[in-house]
Amino acid sequence: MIRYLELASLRWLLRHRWQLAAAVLGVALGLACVVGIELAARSALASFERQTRALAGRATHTLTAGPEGLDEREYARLVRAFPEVDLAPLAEHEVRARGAETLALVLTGVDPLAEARVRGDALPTIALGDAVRADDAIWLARATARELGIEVGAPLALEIDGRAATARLAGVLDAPNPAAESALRGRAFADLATVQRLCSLQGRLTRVDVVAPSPNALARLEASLPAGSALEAVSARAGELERMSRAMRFNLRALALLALFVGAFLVYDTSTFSVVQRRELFGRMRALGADRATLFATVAHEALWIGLAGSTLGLALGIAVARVLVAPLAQTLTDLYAPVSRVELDVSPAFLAGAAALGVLATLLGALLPAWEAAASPPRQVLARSFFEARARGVVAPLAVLAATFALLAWGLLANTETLFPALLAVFAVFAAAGCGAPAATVLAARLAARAAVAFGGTLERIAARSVEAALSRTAVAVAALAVALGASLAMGTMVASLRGTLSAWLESAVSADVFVWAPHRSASRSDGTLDPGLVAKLRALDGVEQVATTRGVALGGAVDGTFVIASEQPPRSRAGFRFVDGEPERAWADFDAGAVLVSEAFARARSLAVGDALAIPDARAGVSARVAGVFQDYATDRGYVLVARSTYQRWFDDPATSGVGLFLAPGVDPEAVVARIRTELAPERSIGVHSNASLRAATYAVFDRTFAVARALELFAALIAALACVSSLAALEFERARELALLRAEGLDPRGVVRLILGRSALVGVTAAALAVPLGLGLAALLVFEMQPRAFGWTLAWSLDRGALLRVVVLSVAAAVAAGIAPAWSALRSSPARALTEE
Amino acid sequence: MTPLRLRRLLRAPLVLAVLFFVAVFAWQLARRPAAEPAARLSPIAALGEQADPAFERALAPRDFDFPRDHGPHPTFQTEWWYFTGHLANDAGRRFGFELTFFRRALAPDAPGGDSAWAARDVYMAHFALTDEARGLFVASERFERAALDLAGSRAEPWSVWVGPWSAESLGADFLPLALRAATARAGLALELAPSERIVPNGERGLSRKGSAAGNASYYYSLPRIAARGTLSLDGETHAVRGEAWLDREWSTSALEADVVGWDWFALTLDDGRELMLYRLRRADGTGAPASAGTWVLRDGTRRELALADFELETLATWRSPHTGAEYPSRWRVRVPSIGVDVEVRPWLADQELALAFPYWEGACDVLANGERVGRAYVELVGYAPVASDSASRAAR
Repeated sequence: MIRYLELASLRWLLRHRWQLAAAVLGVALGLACVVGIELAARSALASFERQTRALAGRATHTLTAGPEGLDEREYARLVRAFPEVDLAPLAEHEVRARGAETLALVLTGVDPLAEARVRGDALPTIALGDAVRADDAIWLARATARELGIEVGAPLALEIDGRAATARLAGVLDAPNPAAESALRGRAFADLATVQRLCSLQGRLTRVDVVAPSPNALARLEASLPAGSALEAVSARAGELERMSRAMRFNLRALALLALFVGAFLVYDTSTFSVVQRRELFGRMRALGADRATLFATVAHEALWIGLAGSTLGLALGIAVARVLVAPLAQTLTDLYAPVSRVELDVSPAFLAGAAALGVLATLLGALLPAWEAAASPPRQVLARSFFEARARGVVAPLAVLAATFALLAWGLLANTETLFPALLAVFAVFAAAGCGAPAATVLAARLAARAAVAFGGTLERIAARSVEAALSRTAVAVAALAVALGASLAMGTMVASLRGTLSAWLESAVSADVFVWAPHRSASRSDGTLDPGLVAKLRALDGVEQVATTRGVALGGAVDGTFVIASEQPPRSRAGFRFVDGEPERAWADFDAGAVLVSEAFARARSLAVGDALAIPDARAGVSARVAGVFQDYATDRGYVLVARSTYQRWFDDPATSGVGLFLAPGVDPEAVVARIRTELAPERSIGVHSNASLRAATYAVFDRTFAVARALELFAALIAALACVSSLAALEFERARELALLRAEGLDPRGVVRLILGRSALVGVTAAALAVPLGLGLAALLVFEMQPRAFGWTLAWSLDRGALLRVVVLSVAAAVAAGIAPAWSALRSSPARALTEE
Repeated sequence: MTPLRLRRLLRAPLVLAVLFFVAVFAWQLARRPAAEPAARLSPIAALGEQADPAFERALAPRDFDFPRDHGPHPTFQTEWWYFTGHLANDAGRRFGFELTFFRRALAPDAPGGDSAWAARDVYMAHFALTDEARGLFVASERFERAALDLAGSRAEPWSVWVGPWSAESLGADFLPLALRAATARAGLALELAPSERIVPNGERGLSRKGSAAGNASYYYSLPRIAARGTLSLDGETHAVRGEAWLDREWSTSALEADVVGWDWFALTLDDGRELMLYRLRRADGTGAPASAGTWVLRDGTRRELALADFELETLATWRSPHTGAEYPSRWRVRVPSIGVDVEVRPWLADQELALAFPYWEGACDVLANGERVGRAYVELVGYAPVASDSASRAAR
């Protein structure tokens, strides 16, 4: 019996290829989103972690000492005092290498002898003898040398703090494994003496890698450390990016799951349709003795195949998506958090199996209800199609109650929590509410439309409207799928618009200088390079400069859970641009000048800081802390930072370096002319950033748009799946009604009438979906803008409506619905009513 | 469509999925790079490499000038201070130690630049302890450059150090001096008492290692220096006393091309005489003509020995589990001209320093007719390939 049922079900599916294809494609696209996002993000993180570990070698800890670095004599003291601890000194500096391409590299000064004991064979090391015999010897990864197009022995042009320098390629390094390979790339290696000389770092070490054989040894070392230095576990550093980008990845993952959710809807749709269509068959089977379990298994079995096919396709597509996504995602992670280079996709069989299981599970869940429905079919009685529809109508009210419950749940979650996870649950609760509310909305819309049709005398329209309600089991699904996907798309659009609007307003006020000059640095959101002091002096002396703001960015207390501090000289014109969310501006600035600090909103939120609180300053002399005088709006980084007066900073650290300079020009001076002058006369090196206010804003928007490119791609996927769902379910419905149409045609309905009827029905579904999608989208957008963003990133956004997205929702929903009607209408027009009537 | 074909179709997604996983798995496997064989570098090649003519060479016999000659000779490329010795605690438990400091110039001149890291000399130190009762042998090494006081040496007051390991005069004179070394497992703090015996080796200190002029080193020994102090190993600490032996040697180029290693013996006999021998080994196992030795009587008179004067017969061999090398492990040493015919037997078979440059150096007993008549330290170089190459590469 099962065999015959299976064959029958397969035959049915093959006869409805398009329906089958839509279901498979729906699952595939949904899963592709999840796999693509997850795989790209996971690969980027894994690559970062592997690189960090490969670079660390045997090192268990890293010793750093604030912006001034560690005194090298302290290192020598530690080496002689702690025979059981292995130490490796490093001096690192950002440089640019110019060859066939210009590459940003971290010039890494090492002691090859210490490298041998800390990194051993994990990383290839340089030969001290060659470095001693030639004090400009540097080493590159083989691939880096190839990229630069230079051969061993050839000179290499470097740009260091905006100065030109030359080194000689003494050799190329071949990594023992891919992780070491990517760790080596993006770096140039040289002896400590060479790097100190080239980068003017004499006497200082950037960090010391530590291999502590035991907790006791570590404790003894820690007790002997100079003031202002800190030990950080390598394991913490390896997980750095993972933790920093958690909120961002959380958002992306939620979006991807949403796409899969819509895909599952499609399966539900297909399965429901197949059950409804085969009601007669199922009824007969039941009458012939097939039990409920058999029927349930038959439908579930179908879903399993759809799930397997969809998942296989989805995995392949997902890997392709990940391939496309991984570079922009790595760029975004680099822009926002930490340098991620050369990501290789990390396709593990376990991951693929897990993803496939997710795809199949989602499909099975989608088919659960229809399968149960098939199983519940009482023999014979099911032969009436109306039985199904009657039952569908019967659940409208309970579902509406469920929708209200979900909505209440969402509200409750938001009102009582402050963390990210409940907000995410609330998002899904809102979706669930929309899904459950769709049947009620469809009924309501159909009745309103019918009433309107009566009022305006359109009989056909009235039939169309009533038939939407009559086929609720299908139309409601189409409405729900379309509304959920378009609502999500609208919400995303609105959130991105709000972010952009807020950013724009902030750029307008906070980014107030006319010309900016900054030192090269790795992470776009953290300006911590150093400018040549001579250049800073020349910039101050430029004609037309009225006021000068300087900044010095430093990461204190280690890269992880550390504090980014910007020491700044803030002239009056710069101060005017700050918007405080806590603290009274005049007071705050007065306190700032007197030694207090200002913190950005994200920083305040992450540390639960308010005006008046004390903030301990890491790496500074023991016990140094500062009072928080104000909390200001800032959208440059979601990790936030601390702003301190230059004079105060100078009391904490002996660090005169400058990372960036902002020039306020006298009225009438053309910023672009000043930029051009700085470029040609003062800082011809490309690594130094020189921007006018306008070009800085443009660059900021570029980073912003790059960041949200991934989100936009997902938005597109969700909309695509929704359109697919809509076309599939409506077209199926119309084809199913071929007989009904034939009857109407036999009774004298002309072709134009047929088109009116079909398109009217479809359009009504589209309009209903739009009517549901708009409030859903705006509600979700509010949730994202006012709850998710502050919870995830720590900043407050101002609402700005994306009118384009709103219009898109309406147009897309109606267009999809109408498109869904075209093929059935065409087919209905071409078929002969008589044949259609006799066929079924 | 027949049921059979339908069934095949039914299976298609599953087959596809399985095929897909197999393909991905195979791709993963294929992507794994093959392990590269590590580059090998012979320590003999390092010592025998063509010397930079800018360095001075050992050409003529020399009247040693102490205490200056205890200190470094930067005009030569290589030198070492080689302390070995036999110690015992009050209960008579015996321990052997080796603490060696090597200096090697990477270039004749110091590099330019104003970085404190700019240095031309690299120092290497080896520290090993033998615990006869527990059958333990531990060895470790340190490398540092002569910069920032990380490593260095000086004549007056005399000292040589590599990181935390050091040998240092306690007063204005070379002796007494203190030896200090520690690792996570082992530690040694010894005071070496004053001694009058300084034995030049070879022709007034010129120890020829080959027939070509300049293939020689300056070489003297201080045998039988009384030592006392503490020694710790794997949680045990012992007050110890005993005797140490210092070998001092510096050179620029020392070995002939056909020499693959050497066997070095320092015998301290209970009757107050000492015998130092080295056989420069050629690939076929025979001794090179430059192999030599020194025989020192109780009154300090010494006699030079040539290859023809002594016989080294291997009585047993030992295969290292660390490097796989096969070492001779028991010898009959005969010097007929002075009536020496003894057996040299290691305290432990495994006293191999499996470091960047692996070699065997260990405490031994000297026996005659089955009776112990003295102690020895034996060094066997050139039997094992260089195992871990990162340190040796770094120091090149």
